[in-house]
Amino acid sequence: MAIHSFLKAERGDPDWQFSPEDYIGKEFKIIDASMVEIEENDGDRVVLRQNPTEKDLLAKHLRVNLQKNSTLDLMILNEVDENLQQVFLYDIHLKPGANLSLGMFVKDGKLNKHILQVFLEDGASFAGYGLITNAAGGDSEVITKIIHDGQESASSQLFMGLAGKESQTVFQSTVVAEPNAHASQIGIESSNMIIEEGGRCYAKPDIYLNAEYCKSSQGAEISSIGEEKLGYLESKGIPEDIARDMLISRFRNQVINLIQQDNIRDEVKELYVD
Amino acid sequence: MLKIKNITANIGDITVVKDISLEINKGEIHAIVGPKKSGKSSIVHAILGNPILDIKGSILFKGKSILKKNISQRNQLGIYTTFQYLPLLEGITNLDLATAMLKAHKDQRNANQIEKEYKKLLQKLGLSSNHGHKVVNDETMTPSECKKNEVLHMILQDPELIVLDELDHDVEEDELEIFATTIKEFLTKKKSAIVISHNKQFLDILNPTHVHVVVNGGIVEQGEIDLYKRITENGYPQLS
Repeated sequence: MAIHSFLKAERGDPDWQFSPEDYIGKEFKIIDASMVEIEENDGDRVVLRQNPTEKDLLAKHLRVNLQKNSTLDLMILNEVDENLQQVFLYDIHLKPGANLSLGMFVKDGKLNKHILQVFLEDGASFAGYGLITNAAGGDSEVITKIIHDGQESASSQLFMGLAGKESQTVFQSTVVAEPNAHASQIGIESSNMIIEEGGRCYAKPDIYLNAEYCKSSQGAEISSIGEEKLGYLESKGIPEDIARDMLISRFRNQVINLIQQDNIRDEVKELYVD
Repeated sequence: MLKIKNITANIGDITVVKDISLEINKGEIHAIVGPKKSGKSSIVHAILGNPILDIKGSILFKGKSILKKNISQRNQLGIYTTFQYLPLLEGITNLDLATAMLKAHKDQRNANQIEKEYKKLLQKLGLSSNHGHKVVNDETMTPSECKKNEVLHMILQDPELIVLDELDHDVEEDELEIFATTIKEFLTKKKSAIVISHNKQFLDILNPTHVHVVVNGGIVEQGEIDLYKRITENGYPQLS
């Protein structure tokens, strides 16, 4: 099921429309969760906490609109019970000069899938970062499609995955620079770690440049916590349990430390305390 | 200090160390030499406590058996082992590692004393002032820096016995002298060492007191530094 859902998202139709009636053979009911709108030249910080309890197969739809020259620091803190299957859909539209920083921390769930579509106009910028973890024997996924439809627009993404026992994480991103997106900048980076037996991480960054004078970079890596790293720390006198915690916590702190607000950063660290 | 008596080590059905005995006393430097894949590193892993090895025989450190001790416990007793290949530790800086290591050792020095010692060692080893903030063994560190980092941790930890498994491998030629003389200086404080190396210059600086030639998992010849000189001229005994 997990692999199938990965491929399904990759295949998608040109407009990346989510088709709940045909999704992995199950029917997900789309509900409008909320809408975040920032007025022209305005700015805001928003924290969304997603702790679903509904047992239905739900696809929650969030719209985010940033008007001209507005800014939004959006944090999504998500934790899903190991028995629940939920999909979160995000339609994000950034008008000229708008600036969105999106921190996304996705944890556990039987299926916990986040599909983002981001549309950038002239001079808009999107910075997405976050952590995708699953240690519940399920599948946590972040799938993004970013369309640069204006010149000098910028997008950067740093998503890290941590897969526990018999669990899976997926980060898949497609970034397209349309012909009018001259001099745009695009970066995708994904770093992933398998921390227990049977864990699986997938990472697939794709960039399509149809415009001139663009700068782009992409990279993805998957590693394992491995006996070699543990043995190395133990050879310095650090006991195995502390060595394991150290490897995992420092790995995820690379992205958690990007959170600007101290209280949110502490909340996220707390979310991952085992 | 370290007494290895008749150890045999197996990985599954394969015997990688055959009936080896060694005695390393205070202040002695023992070089283990031999052709590639002869079992030298397996001896080091037996001392380290790598659980992959099934070991028969005895290993005593300061008179007590360490066979039931795990890797970190053996290090805490005073055996510092380090290797040719060093893993990248994502997100862990050199300073993080040094701090965690000293905490595990319940080091009595205060933060200021440790910082002062750390800075002194950076200077001594020719490492940059931002070395502590680099990720352990990542691509921003040259091979020489990675190996010097191991020496830095060794001196900070101040063990009684060091076991270097081709640590000099990949150290750039112009860095080798400072690297080797720093280790040699550390060893003058009545420390003991087991050193595996294929590098004559490195071994010449360390000037081992004992040399053991390992072939096919067993010791085939033992002697002093003259033995190593003879080997560098004539090759290994059972292969020539």
